[in-house]
Amino acid sequence: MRQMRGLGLVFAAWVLLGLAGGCAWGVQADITATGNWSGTIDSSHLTGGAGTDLISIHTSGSEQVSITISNTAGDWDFWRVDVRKSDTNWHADLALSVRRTSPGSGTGSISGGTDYVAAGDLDTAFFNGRGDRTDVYVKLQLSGVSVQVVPDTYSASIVFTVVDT
Amino acid sequence: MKRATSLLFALALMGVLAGTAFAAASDTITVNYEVQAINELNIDDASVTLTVNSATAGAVPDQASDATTYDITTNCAADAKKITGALNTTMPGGLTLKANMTAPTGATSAGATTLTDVAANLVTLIDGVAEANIALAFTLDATIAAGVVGAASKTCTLTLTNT
Repeated sequence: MRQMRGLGLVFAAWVLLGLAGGCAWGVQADITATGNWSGTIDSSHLTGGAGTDLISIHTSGSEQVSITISNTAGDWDFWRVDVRKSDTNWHADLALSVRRTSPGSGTGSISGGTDYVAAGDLDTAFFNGRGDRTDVYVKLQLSGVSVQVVPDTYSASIVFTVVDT
Repeated sequence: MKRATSLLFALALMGVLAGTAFAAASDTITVNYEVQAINELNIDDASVTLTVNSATAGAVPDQASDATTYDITTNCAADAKKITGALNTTMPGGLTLKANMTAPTGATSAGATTLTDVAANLVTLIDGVAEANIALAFTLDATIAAGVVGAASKTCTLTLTNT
């Protein structure tokens, strides 16, 4: 009888700790990001013809990237989305930033990320929320463009990571 | 029994911590940007006028000069470009037309250089640069042997080209 009571206590602790941890065991929030971005910079992007430099900042459409957070444990499963950049062929002068332009839809909530966040080599907090969210739109910004950036095709991956919090 | 309870409790705690620590998933998008070669050169005045019409007694005729400016934008690699100058036809005998281009930052000027119908280097070792209103001077020298030469025009073509 005492053994049974002991096992019951362990099971109760297990459940309580699982809830206190803000996550349900075995449930992993998923993130899906869709929408690549490409562009070309040529002489039409000079600020004023010969003798002038290139426009430094280029931005994508407001709905360039769509992010969906799914498979959360429910509306009170809190998460955070981090962002970083992984270079394939990149120029040191160029920088990428991301900005959330819509809250998406879902029964949870979302906050943060409405100002540009630099996508560096390390994960940086972008926005956070709870519960499933669909079609959270993100705008991209390329900065640092100038005549010091030699002709080439530059490519980088932007990695979005959802982390349970 | 106590040991078994503690063990199970520890396992439960590890499970919670593990569930939190590794609860991450990622997705990736790709950004591709092409920067094309940009090479823009502009002479700010459509023409310059050089008239040799004076001399000091006992000396060759005075040199005539006029000046304009030019603008340049290039995103080339270091030292990858140069500017050459050439006339559409060679100058008459006894007349020498020279161009002296001030170099943009990082480049090297050839100084006053005689212009002919063969392209001559005026500025070399050009880096990526965007500068406007850089000095470009022309001079015309005439020898006594040239005599009186009627007004004429020459087209000077400046070319931004690979080194």
